[in-house]
Amino acid sequence: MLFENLRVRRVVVHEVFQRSADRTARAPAVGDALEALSAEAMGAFQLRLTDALAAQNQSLQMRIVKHDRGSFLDVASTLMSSTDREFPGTSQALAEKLTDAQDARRIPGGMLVVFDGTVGAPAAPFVGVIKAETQPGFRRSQAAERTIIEFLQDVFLTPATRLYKVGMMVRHDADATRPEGWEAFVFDSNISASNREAAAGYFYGRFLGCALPSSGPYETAKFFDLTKEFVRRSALEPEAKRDAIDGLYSFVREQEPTFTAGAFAERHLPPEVRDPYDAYMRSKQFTPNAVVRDVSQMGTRLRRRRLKFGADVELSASPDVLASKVQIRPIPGDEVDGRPQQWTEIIVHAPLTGEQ
Amino acid sequence: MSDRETALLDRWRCERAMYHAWGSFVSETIVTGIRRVIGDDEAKLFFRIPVAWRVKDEASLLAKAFHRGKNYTDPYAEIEDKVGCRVVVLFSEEIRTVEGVLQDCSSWAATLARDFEHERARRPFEFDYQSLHYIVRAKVELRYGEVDIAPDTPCEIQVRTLLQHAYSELTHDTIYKPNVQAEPQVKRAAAKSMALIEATDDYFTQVRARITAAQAPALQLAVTADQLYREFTGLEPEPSPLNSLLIDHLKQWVRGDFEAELSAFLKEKSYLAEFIRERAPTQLLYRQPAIIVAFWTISQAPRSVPVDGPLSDDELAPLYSVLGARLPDARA
Repeated sequence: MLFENLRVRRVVVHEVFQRSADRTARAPAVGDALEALSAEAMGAFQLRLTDALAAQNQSLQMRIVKHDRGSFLDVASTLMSSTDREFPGTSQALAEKLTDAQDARRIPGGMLVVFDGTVGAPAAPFVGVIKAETQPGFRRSQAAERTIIEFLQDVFLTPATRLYKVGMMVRHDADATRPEGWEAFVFDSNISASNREAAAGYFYGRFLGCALPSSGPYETAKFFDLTKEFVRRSALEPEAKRDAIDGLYSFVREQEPTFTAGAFAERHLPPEVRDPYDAYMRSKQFTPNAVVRDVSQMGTRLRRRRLKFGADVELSASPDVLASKVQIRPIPGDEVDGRPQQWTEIIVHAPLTGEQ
Repeated sequence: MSDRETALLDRWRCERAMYHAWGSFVSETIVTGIRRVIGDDEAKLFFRIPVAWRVKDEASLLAKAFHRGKNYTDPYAEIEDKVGCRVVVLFSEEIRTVEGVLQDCSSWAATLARDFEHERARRPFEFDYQSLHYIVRAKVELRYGEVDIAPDTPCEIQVRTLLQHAYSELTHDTIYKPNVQAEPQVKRAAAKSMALIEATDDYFTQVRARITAAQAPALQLAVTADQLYREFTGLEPEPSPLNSLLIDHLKQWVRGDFEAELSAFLKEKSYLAEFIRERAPTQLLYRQPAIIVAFWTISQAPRSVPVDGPLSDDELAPLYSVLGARLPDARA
């Protein structure tokens, strides 16, 4: 989903705390009124949201698995239809829910911002939460005749994305039976860390009632096929194409649990084709959000690569061997009819062992 | 002073104010005419030296009437440049624009007195003073300011380029006046400079053609942006130099079917109209027609648009944000 036309309407801020040494929970400090943000502050707040949700490895569409009474989705649904007077009180349930979900002492406290609004075109209503850890910082200000430096203990929502997590539930169809008609999105810098279950699970799982999407194998294969097709058809030189395809083979098998097409472009495509690549993937309806990396259904695609030279010469090898034990480079060949020819030099780090 | 000189001067002293008014009227009419033909903005750059007129001083009037071997039968009537007006432009092509205005004016009858292109054709080996001269004569009596101008009052108009003007300033009071008979070397040097000036004018014209061709896409884009901005937002745009900077930067992404694509884009992202309207009152950027082109190019080429562009990250970030995108961190 594209988080365009995002408009935040109501905002309430609560604070949740770290568990004490004996792992008992401390009740959240709840806000009981809507925040009145200036246009500038609201602009910065919306910027944090789109920055987090747009095309990042750590921004994922999730499956909503909990939708019973008291679940996040249930509260979100109530919040959406609440009046301004009811909104702060109703949102306190989420502060309590997060306090319960943070069941390990190593999980830090922080601000819980609960907000609603609309997003997309046509605009769909949503309820969102941000858990923002506070950080210390300095501020320089003018007091009477002299400037003073203030030390602030509890700044939050700075652009440092590692310090906040976002959950957002968007309602596309009010008439469907929950969780149908709703989409959930999570941004959490811990999702892409290798111990993702431990670090991120409390937020998207216990708090939001979501689970990682099951579309990973399908999306990964789709990404692989589309990208290969794009590179094949691009105007890149054959060597640049080979580099890009080499990159693709290693990219889909990396350890990071999620990826985006944009991240592939940044790392493996030459700058001049990155925007066309984005446009191509968009035209093929490939999600701009992150995808769970899963090559389990890619069948034989990753087993062998076949390179073609001229019309009738083929070289076949596994991707790993091709990368590590085969050197391929273009060399100038003999002229034909006065025109220079390009040849290829192939060095295989192995003896000829037979013919099939 | 002889009687004929006294008589001529007496008349001149009576009529000088009328000639002065006529010169003023002619100058003003030319400026207005040019504005009408090419528009106010272009007209500001058109006149390289403000259009000015002068009435002849007495000494040179007498000299021309009686001492330059002109053999006038009625010197006062035959001297047509008692008041003269000068128009200086940059390119020789622009001289013809002025000529068109002179010929089209209903207040006077215009007669060609000297055309440097005819002279070039007649004497192709010569490089000499070049200018376009017209004599305009009032068709009917007219009142200008406090002064009545008699019908048939003449005014000489000299139209030339800045380069031709430079040549004339250099030579006019020296090699053309009979009192100084210039040396052949001086004349040769003057002819060489005129030849160079004519060649330079050719180059100027080429440069202008190339600049115009190079600016054409940006001009077209600016016109399209202005029109679509008005339609889309319902606001009156306030183009500033920022608009030109944006257009210059963004034109690299403009393709043949751009106008249709931009219209379709705006239709799909109709929420941008509200976004622009909310910010236009306080932020200049959102009063620039090019802002709509910026949105479109960001959606097309999100990674490349920030590179070497006129907008800072702080200005770009909200544009990306409302489109649901994120300003790229790394600049390629």
